[in-house]
This record gives sequence, C-alpha cells and structure tokens, in this order.
Amino acid sequence: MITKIRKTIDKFLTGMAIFLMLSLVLFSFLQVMLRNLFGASMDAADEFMRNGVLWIAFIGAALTTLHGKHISIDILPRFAKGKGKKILDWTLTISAAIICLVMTWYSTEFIILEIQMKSLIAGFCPAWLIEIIIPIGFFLLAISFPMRLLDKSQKADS
Amino acid sequence: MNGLIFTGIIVLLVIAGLPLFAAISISSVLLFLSSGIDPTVVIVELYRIASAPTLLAIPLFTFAGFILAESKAPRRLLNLADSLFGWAPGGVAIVSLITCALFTCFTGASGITIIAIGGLIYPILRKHNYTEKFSLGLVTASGSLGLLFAPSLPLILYGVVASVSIDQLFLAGILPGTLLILILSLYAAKQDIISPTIRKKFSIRSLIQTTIAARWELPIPIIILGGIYGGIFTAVEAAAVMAFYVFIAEFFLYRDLSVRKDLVRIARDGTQLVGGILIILSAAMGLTAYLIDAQIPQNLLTAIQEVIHSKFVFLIALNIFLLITGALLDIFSAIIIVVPLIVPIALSYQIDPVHLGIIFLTNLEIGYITPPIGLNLFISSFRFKKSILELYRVSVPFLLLMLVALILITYIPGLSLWLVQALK
Repeated sequence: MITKIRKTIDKFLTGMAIFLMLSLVLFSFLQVMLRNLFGASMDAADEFMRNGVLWIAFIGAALTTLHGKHISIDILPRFAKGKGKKILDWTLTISAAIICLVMTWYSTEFIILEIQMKSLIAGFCPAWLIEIIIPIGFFLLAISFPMRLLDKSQKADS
Repeated sequence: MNGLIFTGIIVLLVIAGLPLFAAISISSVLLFLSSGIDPTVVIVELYRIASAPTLLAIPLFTFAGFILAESKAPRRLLNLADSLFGWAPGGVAIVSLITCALFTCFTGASGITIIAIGGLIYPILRKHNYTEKFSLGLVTASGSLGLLFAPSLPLILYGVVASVSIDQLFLAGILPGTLLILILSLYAAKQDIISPTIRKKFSIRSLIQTTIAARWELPIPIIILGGIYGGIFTAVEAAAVMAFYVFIAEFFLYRDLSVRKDLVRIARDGTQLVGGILIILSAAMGLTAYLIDAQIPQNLLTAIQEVIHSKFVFLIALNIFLLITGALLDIFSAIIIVVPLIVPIALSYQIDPVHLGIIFLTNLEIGYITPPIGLNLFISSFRFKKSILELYRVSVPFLLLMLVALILITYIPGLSLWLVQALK
C-alpha cells in the first residue's frame, strides 16, 4: 500500500519535474532569441520563470526526500548498524517531518497574508497562486520523509 | 537555558544526519520566535529567492550538465584530449586531468566525476604503467578539479549568495583553474620521467578524427564564454542557450540519448540536484536575515579585527578556516552558510569579493580530498574498493601540490582579477 502511494507520488513529482524543467529550457531559450533578434523584452515572462525556479526547488526537494538523497553531514550514520541504525533513522525522519510541518504552518500563514494584501505577480496574476508551492512543497516534504522509511522497511531500497 | 537545550538538540541531530535544510529552517524559526518576531518572516525571506535574477542559471546549467554526463561526450572528450596530449611526458595523466576538470565544471561538482569518469580513467592509467598509488591519487584529486571553470554550479551559487557578478566570476576562475591543472600536470610529467610510462605517438590523423567526432561539443565553450564576453548575452541567457543547444546536440544530432528512454531520468535527476541545493538556499534566507538583524556579522567583524590586524594574517586564517569547512560540509551548503558571514569581513580587509570567491572555491575544492572526511576520499574508497587509510596516503602529494596552488591564488590577486580587469 505504502509502496503504491509512494510510487504514485514519485510519478506525479517526476512528471512535474520534467514539465517544469523543459518549459524553463524552452521559454528561456525563446526569450533569448526574441530579445536578441527582435529586441523584444518580456518582463512578465522573466518573473514567471524566476518563480518557476522556486517550483523546481520544492518539487526537486520532495523527490530528493523520496529517494533519500538530501545533503547532510552524515558522520554518525556511517558507523551506525542494526538496531541503533533503525532508531537513528526514525529519530531523524520524525524530526525532519515535524520541522517540515512547522514550515508548512508558517508558509500557510504567509499565503493567507498574501491573499489579504492582494499581491500581484507581473501585474495581473495573484501572487498566492504561484507562492502556494511553498506550503504544498513543505507538506510534500513532511509526508515524504516517513513514506520513504516505511517503504524501505518493507523492501530494500537501492 | 531553553535556547541552549534547543541548540544542543539541533547540533546533535545535524551530526546524526538530519538534512541540513531542516536544521537551518527550524533554527531560523526558533531564533525569530526567541526575539519575539513572527516566524512567518522566514517564509517572506525564503520567497525572496524568486527575485534573484541569476538563480535561473542553476537549473539550466544543471540540465545541460546532466545531458552531457549521460551522453558519450566524456568519451569523445577523452579521445580528443588523448590525441592532443597523449604523446607528451605524463600525457595520459594530463589527459585525465583535463577531462575530469571539464566534466566536473559541466556537472556541478557533486562527486559524480569519480564515479562516472574515474572508473574510465583509472584502468587506462594503470595500463599505461602509472603506479597504483599515483593513479588512485590522481583520480581522487581530479574529482573536484575544474570547479573554478564556467559554468560550475558552485561558481554561480557563490555569485548568487555574495551578490557578485557571475560574468566576472567566470572570467576570474580561468587562470587559477588552469594553474591547478598545470601544477598537477607538471607533477604527472615528473612521475613519467622518473618511471617511464607507455606513450603513444602523435598522429595528425587521429587528431582530425577525434576533432570531427567532437564537432557538436566543441562550440559549447565558445557559445558560453564567447557569448558572455562578447556582450551578446548574460550568464543566464548563456545558460538558456547552452541547455537548448546541448539538448538538440546530444538527443538529435549525435542521437546518444533517446527522448523516450533517457529524458525522464535526466530531468528527474537534474531536478533532484537543483532541489537539494535550492531548498538549503531557501531555508538559509531566513537564517541570514536573522543573523543580519541581530548584527552577528558586524560583531564577528569587530571581534576578528581586534585579533587580526593585517590582510596577510587574515588570509592565512581564512584559508585554514575554509579548509576545515570544506572537509566538513559539502560545497553547496558551505557556500550558502559561510559566504554571507565572510564577505563583509573580507571586504573590511580590502579583499575583492571576486577574488574572495576564487579563494573560497579553491579551498573547498581542496577540502574534498582533505583527511579525515573529505568527500572524494570516501567516494574513491567506495568506487575502487580501497581502504580509506590508503586513500589518505595516496592523495597526500596531490593535496600538498594543490595547497601550493592555493597559496599562489590567495596571495596573487592578479591571477583572479587580471582577466576581469583586462576585459572590462
């Protein structure tokens, strides 16, 4: 069951990653061409692409969590074995998940503020529509941490 | 008291392997809470990364780098370098150094070089009669070589974090990066003269053949560097052009990769690397804001100025500090966490931020092979199934030579700044 959910999330995130990455590549290239050949500048597109990087950051971070590749100082895990390793893994997973939930909470407050202030991106798009990736991203991270460990304990992960 | 307990717990968790972004996030939330400020500010600061104009270069160059790494480009480069330098004393070793450097700068220096290219090069070196000690040391040391060349991610990230022009950093890295390769090449040539290896004859035919084979990859440096310095486009635009160009070249011109089979994996792996770095950068925005708010950099500066009076001594202290940092932290977190603290201090000692960036990255580059926990030592130990102690031993000569280069780079600012000023 967990394996199935994890795989579904993984597939969805991978799909998003490909879509975002390819759009960034394509649009940024188009923009360079337009600017250099026709002298057209598109500030709005610039702003959307910069926000696209934020989306890539969170989608990528969630994928990184699912695949257990986060950057950390892993001195202790190199020496931990057996039961000690299991306890260590769970302590880290639960701590990381709680921290991400805390961040989800504060980023939701941030979104509520942005909705109240009616902030705009590129002059017409409600900012919160784009910024919503922050709470969603942190929430995805929060569920990905235990998901990876639960799945791994059922079946060895590469 | 509460503060001490929380700090203790967080430090323990970090040593135990808590992802750095999580540790940084919760630290900034707790710090703001303790000074009575609503931690939502952490998210406001985080969102500021979406207004950094150069950040877009990171996913674009990463995408291009992953495509190149997955294609047969490394093999073609190796062949080309071999027909160029294979005849010289230490030729094969020099070829290895150059290939590793190019590979590292295109893939963003994440230790992937040793796994991907080291495995290719090590047997070649051994076949040409290089000693095991030398070959292993060379492959390990080359894992981080090339970090100073455009468009390496650490270079871009330093530019973003320190608010320094990436175009200038790209220029500044050229001479110091070449110096590092040159010093190691001389060492390779000396090894070869002491105990001769098998060399091959120079052949114009093979040079032409390998050049033709690499025809679609050879324009890349010209597009990036020529484009930027010819004033045609900015670093971010160069990233956009390169990503698009490399995609077309490897997928459609060479057909090394297939859209159906490889694109998904490359985009996913690239996004993961970008996400892993940018989530730390995002988390650190809040922490940096707190530190500045609490005037920590200023206090640090005053404290340091009381102890250190000359630029010379400061640079020595900086080098030692950064070597330790480089051995403890991975390069991306080191840049994100340490740069905001160091830049104002270095400025007060009249150190150019561009020069500082090069010093910074050279130190971290060396940190990769500094015992006891330099990352590349572990990667090599894992890849070549040798004990970590053996790797400490074989990398010492390379470490010492790179330290010589570091001293030259640190105390001769012209090495970094001459090209920047000449091409202004």
